[in-house]
Amino acid sequence: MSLSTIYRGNVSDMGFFDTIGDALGIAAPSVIEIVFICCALFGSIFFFTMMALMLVGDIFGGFIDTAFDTDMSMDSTLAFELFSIQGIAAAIMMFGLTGLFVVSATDIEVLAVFAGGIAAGSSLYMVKYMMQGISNLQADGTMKHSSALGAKGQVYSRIQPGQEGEVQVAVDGSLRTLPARAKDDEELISTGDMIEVVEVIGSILIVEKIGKQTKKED
Amino acid sequence: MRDDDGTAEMFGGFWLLIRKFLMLFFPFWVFLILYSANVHMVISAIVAGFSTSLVVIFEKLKIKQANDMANKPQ
Repeated sequence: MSLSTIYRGNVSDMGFFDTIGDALGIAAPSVIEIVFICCALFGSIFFFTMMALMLVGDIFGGFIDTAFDTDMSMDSTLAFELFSIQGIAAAIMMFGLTGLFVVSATDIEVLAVFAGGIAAGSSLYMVKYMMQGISNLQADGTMKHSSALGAKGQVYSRIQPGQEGEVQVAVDGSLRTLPARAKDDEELISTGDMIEVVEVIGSILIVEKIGKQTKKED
Repeated sequence: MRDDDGTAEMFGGFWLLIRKFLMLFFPFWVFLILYSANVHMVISAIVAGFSTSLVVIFEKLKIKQANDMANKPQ
């Protein structure tokens, strides 16, 4: 005889899980159903509490920053950990909810446990993808001088024979002003002349006047 | 001193967390499957306990795979 049957007469005497089970439309929950209810309930409470704390924390942190002129921040490691714990909470919640749904729809407990496990795994995987997406948003601002090889641009500050000047070329999608020398040591390249980067030595670009190249080809 | 066996880099650094989660919930999941399939509770518990080793085996296999890839001649 189940607990629900024993206490059926007096609603106030019903067990905790029977009450929740009744609220979810499950009469006399079995052990597996109780496990699902626990996971769904505690997973949801934990998940939504963490969400609320993160949101309120931002507002509260902003208020403290303004009121007390302090600098409170959550570094990436802490954010990662919190986010990961949230992922686990989401997985537990999904396990419980999916299990409850499947068990009430099919009445096959093995299938419900399987489905719950798959749902939990999937939600963790989704968190992993979200984390990857977030880390992909971080742009690496380091410029590689070798990317300038073959780039065409304009002389910004004239390059005198055997000396250094400056050129403007597009490197990795942004226009940069970089030190440059002429390939031909005796050549003068005036400001505004069009050039092409033919070599990169350290952080200095070795350039050649575009008109000169065309003449050579002819 | 910590040994760097490459586990920290697995699954984009997410493996450390996944392993903790799996160590805790995988045996629980296996137990629930067997229990709901009306397998005797003791047998379910034993199989669930053994299932923990699957996580470790999976980890070792992944590390071996990664090492083989890294040491592959070009």
